[in-house]
Amino acid sequence: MSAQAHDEHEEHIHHWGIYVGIGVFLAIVTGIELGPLFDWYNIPVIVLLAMSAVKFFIVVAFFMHLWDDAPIFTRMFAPPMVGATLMVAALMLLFDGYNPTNQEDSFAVQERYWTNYSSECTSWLRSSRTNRWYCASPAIDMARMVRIGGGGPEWGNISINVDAASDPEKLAGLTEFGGKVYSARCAQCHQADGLGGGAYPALAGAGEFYGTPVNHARIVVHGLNNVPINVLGVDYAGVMPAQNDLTDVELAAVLTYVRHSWGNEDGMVLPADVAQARTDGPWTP
Amino acid sequence: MDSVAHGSGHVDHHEEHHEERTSLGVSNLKLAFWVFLASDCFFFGSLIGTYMSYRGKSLVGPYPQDVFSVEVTSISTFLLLMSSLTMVLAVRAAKIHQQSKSESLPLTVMGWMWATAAMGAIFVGFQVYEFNHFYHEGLTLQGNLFGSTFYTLTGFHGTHVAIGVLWLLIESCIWIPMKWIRGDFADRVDVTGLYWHFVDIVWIVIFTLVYLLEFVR
Repeated sequence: MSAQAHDEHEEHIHHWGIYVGIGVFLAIVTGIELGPLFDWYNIPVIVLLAMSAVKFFIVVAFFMHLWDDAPIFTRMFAPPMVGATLMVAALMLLFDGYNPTNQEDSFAVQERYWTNYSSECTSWLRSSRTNRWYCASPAIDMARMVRIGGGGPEWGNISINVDAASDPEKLAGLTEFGGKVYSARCAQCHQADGLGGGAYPALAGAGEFYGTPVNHARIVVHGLNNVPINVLGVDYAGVMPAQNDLTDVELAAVLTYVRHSWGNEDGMVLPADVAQARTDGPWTP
Repeated sequence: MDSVAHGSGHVDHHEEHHEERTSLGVSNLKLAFWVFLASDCFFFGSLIGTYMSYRGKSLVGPYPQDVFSVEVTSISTFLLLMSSLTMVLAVRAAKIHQQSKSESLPLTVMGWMWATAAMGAIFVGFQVYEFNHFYHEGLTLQGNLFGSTFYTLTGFHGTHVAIGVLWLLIESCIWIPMKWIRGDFADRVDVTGLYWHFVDIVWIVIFTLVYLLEFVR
């Protein structure tokens, strides 16, 4: 008798169909939320936040049973939950974290970073999803990253990207990345404008000297050790340091950059050309 | 309400398998657990607030759009949501089992818990895959603000899910079969459910603020 009396006051057990119905509703709302994720359609931020709040409320009320459980649980949980939500909202408002356009601003910051510190950025990476370049130094884990300054062990995504691209894309990718390699590795002597100066030959208009892709790669990969050369009518016999610590793709990129900058139109260099140059040995006149 | 039953004096307070109740007429265990969840709100509130404060302020890449995999995130989100459904069905089965006073092993409860644990384990697996992928894209804990705040927030959430999976497995494979949970059976499963649903609602917030906001125009 007493057990029965107790059972009558046990929590009411809902029909399983109610839970399944709620589950289906939650799945539908989540399905609608996926629209912006896959770029099917756009949903304003405020609506997304509202949809998220509805899902949150439904799970708490019906799956966690606050709707029909003892009120003391709600009194224990709701104030801290609201407090935490207000804290997040306040931080978002104070620091502009809610504004979806501020991602654009961070790209602008990145652009400035490039312009101002491009020579200091020793590590450039390219996202395989957005195809965007970003500076991954100096704070980033140096050992794992592509290091233009020191010649890292990994190329990362660029080799995949370049190999898969069509010719114009390949050229654009190689020159774009090659520019970074150039400013980190070559610009100190040959200058950003490719005009060289003093003991350093110009690269702008020097196509007649450096010649074919493999020839060009042989000069850069193995360097020149007091070999007498004549570039654009000027005699040199200095030291061009070997760049053999760079990968084939890095070298292909920087050579392609040189061959397509400052008015040069000498065709792109592919990683295979660099590999060929490595086997062929140092360039000789 | 239980308070009515207490007032009527028909309830045997010394019944052998009766769960411990506070003077409020509710289970000690559940009340304590709701207080813990309330504190966990602030735990995740601080992590989400920190993430949102630093959002879009990384000086160096990679940025969220460079690394996020929408397919993986969508599957994870659906799995965790549906695991909440299987969990609530486990809690429901536990209540039915307790009220029927059956001595048999509550296999329905265990089954729903296994389904929940399986989906939770897949969620954790996807997160391991995701972290690994992000790391190879150049996103590290120390590399930029996005990396630091993202890994801390989602890492702690993933840890919560992993603990939930272990809890579900230990409860359904050891405690219940060994009959270590008896009188307060429904409450014990209920509390496991509360934890699991809490982890799910935290993900509802993270999914919206961390992932969806990157893709609205």
